[in-house]
Amino acid sequence: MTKTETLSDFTKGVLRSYSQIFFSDNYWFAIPLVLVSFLDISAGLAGLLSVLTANIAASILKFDKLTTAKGFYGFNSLLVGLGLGYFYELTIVIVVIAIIAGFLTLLITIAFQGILGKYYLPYLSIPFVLSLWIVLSAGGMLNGTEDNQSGVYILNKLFIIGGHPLVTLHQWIVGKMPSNFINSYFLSLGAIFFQYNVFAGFVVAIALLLYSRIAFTLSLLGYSVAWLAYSFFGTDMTLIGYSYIGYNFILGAIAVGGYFYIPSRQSYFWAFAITPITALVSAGLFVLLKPFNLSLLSLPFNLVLLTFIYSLRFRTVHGKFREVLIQEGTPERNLYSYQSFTQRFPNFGWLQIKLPFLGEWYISQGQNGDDTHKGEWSDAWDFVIVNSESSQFTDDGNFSNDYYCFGQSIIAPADGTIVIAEDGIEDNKIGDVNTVKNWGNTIIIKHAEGLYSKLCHLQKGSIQVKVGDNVIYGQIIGKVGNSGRSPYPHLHFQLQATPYIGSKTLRYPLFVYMEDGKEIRTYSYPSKGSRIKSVDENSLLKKAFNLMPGTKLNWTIRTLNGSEKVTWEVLTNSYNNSYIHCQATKSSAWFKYDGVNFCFTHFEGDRKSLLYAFYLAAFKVPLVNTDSYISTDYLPVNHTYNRWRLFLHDFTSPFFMYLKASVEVKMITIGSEFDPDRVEYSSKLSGRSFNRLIWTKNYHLVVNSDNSLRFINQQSDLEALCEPY
Amino acid sequence: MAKLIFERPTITRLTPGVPSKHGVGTAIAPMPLIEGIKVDDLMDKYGSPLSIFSERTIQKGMEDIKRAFSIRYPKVQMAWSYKTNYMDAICRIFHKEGSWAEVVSGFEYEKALRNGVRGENIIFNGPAKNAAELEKAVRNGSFIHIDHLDELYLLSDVCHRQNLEARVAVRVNMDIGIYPKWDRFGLNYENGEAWDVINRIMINPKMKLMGLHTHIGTYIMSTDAYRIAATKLADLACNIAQKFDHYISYIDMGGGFASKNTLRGAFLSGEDTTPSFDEYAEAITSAIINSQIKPDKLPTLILETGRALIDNAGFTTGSVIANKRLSDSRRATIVDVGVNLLFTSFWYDHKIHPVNSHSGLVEETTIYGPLCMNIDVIRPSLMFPALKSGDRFVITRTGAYNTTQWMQFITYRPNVILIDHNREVHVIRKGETLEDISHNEEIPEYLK
Repeated sequence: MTKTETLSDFTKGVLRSYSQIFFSDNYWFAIPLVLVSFLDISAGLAGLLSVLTANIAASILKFDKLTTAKGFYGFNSLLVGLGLGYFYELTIVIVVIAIIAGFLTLLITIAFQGILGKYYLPYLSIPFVLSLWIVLSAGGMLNGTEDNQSGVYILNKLFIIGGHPLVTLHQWIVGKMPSNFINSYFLSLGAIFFQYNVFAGFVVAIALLLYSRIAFTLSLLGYSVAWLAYSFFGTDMTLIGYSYIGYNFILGAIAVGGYFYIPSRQSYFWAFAITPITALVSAGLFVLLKPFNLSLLSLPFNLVLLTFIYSLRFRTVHGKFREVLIQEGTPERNLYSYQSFTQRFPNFGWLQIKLPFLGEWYISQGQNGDDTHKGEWSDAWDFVIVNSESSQFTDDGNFSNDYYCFGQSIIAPADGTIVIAEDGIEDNKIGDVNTVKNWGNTIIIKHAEGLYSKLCHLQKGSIQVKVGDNVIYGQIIGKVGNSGRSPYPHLHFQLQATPYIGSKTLRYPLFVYMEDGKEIRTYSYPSKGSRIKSVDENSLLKKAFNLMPGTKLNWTIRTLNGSEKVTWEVLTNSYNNSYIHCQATKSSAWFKYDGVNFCFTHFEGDRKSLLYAFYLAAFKVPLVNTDSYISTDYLPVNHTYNRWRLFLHDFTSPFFMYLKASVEVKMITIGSEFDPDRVEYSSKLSGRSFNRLIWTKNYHLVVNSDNSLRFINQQSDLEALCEPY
Repeated sequence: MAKLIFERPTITRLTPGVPSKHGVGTAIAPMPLIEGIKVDDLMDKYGSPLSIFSERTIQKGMEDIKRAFSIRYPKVQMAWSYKTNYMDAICRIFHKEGSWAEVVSGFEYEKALRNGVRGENIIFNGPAKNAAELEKAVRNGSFIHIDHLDELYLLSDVCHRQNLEARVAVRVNMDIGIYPKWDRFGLNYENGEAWDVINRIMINPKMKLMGLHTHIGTYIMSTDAYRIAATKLADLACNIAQKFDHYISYIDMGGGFASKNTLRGAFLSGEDTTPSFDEYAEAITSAIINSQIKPDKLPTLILETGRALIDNAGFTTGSVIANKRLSDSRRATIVDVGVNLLFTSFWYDHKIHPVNSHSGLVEETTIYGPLCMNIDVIRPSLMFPALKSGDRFVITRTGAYNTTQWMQFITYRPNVILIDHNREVHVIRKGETLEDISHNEEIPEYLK
């Protein structure tokens, strides 16, 4: 890492320490916050000193670089410094204390990261509360400390910083305050930075709005509910303590409504519901802490939020109120990513369990079936073969041999080791069941720790494997029979976490199958009554889209204005996520490849680049041998719409998304199926607002058999050719 | 109450007691309906004789064969054998059901293209392909199945001259333990000729070896023969993979599955003796799967089944012209369907059902066609009810080869109709007229 990069990381770390107070790692958002903190110069300087101390210490002590650069190690120290500077006049003693306190807070932060991290809980601003209590209490005993009076004389302070115009602006804002309600809202926002004035709060509110519409509406929600709660209890909120603790409700609402949980109706409800609890806790703690002469600070919000997050993890059904698993930085991004990623890949990364047979089969009993798939054994499938008249047998079906599935080969659904191969149980006559050995002849395969597949009711004497054999996907292991609790021949298939006959089932999706001859499903659960079969892979597409890290794609772009060359490189980050990077435009497009689909998941960078067009066109392309197959998908709106449309959309997005961007890809194979010349994808993208079409884009991507690509953007008469790679 | 049908009196020997080795007497069921439609109505409308095809039966056959193979083998492709029945409507039904085309002549090749089959989905078989036909097939990307060395040289020559790359497969013949041994098509396995040609193809830069093909015969009643053939082709595929690191795309097992017709001279009925698709499938697929071919490199299995898929779907109906007694007092019935329309009566003992019910009494009968030719015998001897002049009958399982090998001899060929999957009737080939037959003829000026 070069010196400039270290320096830039350090600057980002310091800036983000400011924005992290609002759970943001956006350093542009930090700039107004820094300015606001300097409205009280003493507080601003002490804050800056503490945050610098914490970040310098963190990098000298080699704490995690990424965490430091994200501002996670700085924001508690910043708050302590701000508090210190607010309560005391900035003397040389206070400067030293600010530095010591900054470091102390860092240590407390790390300690809490360790303690709470075990429970996967955030440490929030607990280190700040503890540290500031200590420092303030200590302050009284130290010589050379002097109470800061400037908080009382806001106009004087503003005059020093901005002269007459700033004072006028402040007076104008105050004059425009329609009510005490709004006034207190701004005061509460300012109080987060120990700036007890409307002007600071106003700037913070604007910054918050620009940073995130969801966070902004949540701040209003939390504050309003608290106001109502206090009115209901008959207390004036402004009177609770001498500090404006309104921010407890604001931060609480943002945390629950948009940061730790995916923004949704449910999250707004909980942001609403948690506020009176925080109010009650505040009132209680206020009385409890009074004898110690300690102020509440952000303690109520911290305690309530941690308890809330921890408790809700014990829910057995998560429903629509979901915790954010991968923090993307803003409530909007969390929401849009959740919408797109979790809906597109609900079970991505699970082991690839395929169908345990060849050809098309019919599910005669699905999961949670009517007959036997109940209770702890509910997640299983029964497969049979039927003809076009939905009959399972020829003739009268009085004999096992009449059934189409009887005697058909069963294959290993994935690689693994045989742990049980029980044979020797007689096949039943049609209609009889064996309730003693109810699973019949059974094979259990271990695919991974805690993942076993079980195939039951096999034909007596048909099992071709023995315990300890390693099997690979596709290997024939036995034949469908009619043994055990099986009145007619069928295959019982289930996944389970333990290696025993009779183990309860495990809800685990099947990797890929074709449903009813038209729809390709991945990581899904086929249901009763559907006909499913395996899909054929296309070797040409597999070669073209299985992009290995280090691969370089050299493009020649031809437009009406001439031609240019760009090079993309396939890279992998430390989380093993692959992406295509274009150095020239500083753009990256993340993708996933599972052998059945190639999907882009994320884009960052220049929307005028070829990579962005490619990202849209190949957002989801099927790689299977199904001619004229059309796949559809929805693109995340934050990658497809411009800033202003999104700005408005963000307000309603947790409740109702009126913007939609969809892509429809049609696949045509040219040439022989065995030896295709090329595969052509036509991608039609369309953007809709309230179901009204507002834009369309058309792309054409050709994958040639020599592994070269041709990409056509039909809007801009652009044609790009990629050399074989 | 309907009046009883008059039948001329017949003398039948009374055989009391237990049945003899010939079993009990023969009962012949009438067949008033085909696919739920009255045969009488069809004949009133479209005439006699009449050739009828059932789309439902075709679809059922395709469903059965596809299911039998696809539940046992991951990749299966059907290719419709044009020579079995190349009427456009019939071919199109098979293509609609997912079949490619398997053709054996330039004429069939053109027909397949006209039926909308993509060149890449045509398998070009047969011992007689000329340079122009080969060039066209190569340009279309069709699979050319090499039948003999001279064809290999010709194809190589065409490709080099035109700078084309051909997709080829080798037709292999082999000893599979049955008689007759089919060794006139393709290149022999046992004497190493097939391997020799494979090597020549692999080193030829203008040829890409796509597959291996065998066609072990026709009306093969032994599934074991297919098992041996598939094993030998799989061995060849392994040898190719081992020597050239090249994995062939397909193994084409040809056709030859028996239909339910009874071969002339067979003791037992074809319905009882012919193997089912499942039995053929089990033999072929287990041979390939159990071979040394790696599971992820298994070639597609191509089947060119013709007869077994279309024979059952075809019916020929006709009318009795006259009855007479032969010199040895056997009865003979002359009908309007002759070997001109029913070429397969040379091989099969076709089943014949009266359209309408009869008394149930049967008499040994010879059935002659209407041609003024001694060879025109539909059944030399069968137990048949006493139909009288004008009575109608249905001959079943006449779908294969008859509409391709039929002759225009002294009379016109009749209407061919199709009962589609919705039981609607379509004429798919109009009955011939004098103009159809003579419009290619030219009369020299001096004879006019």
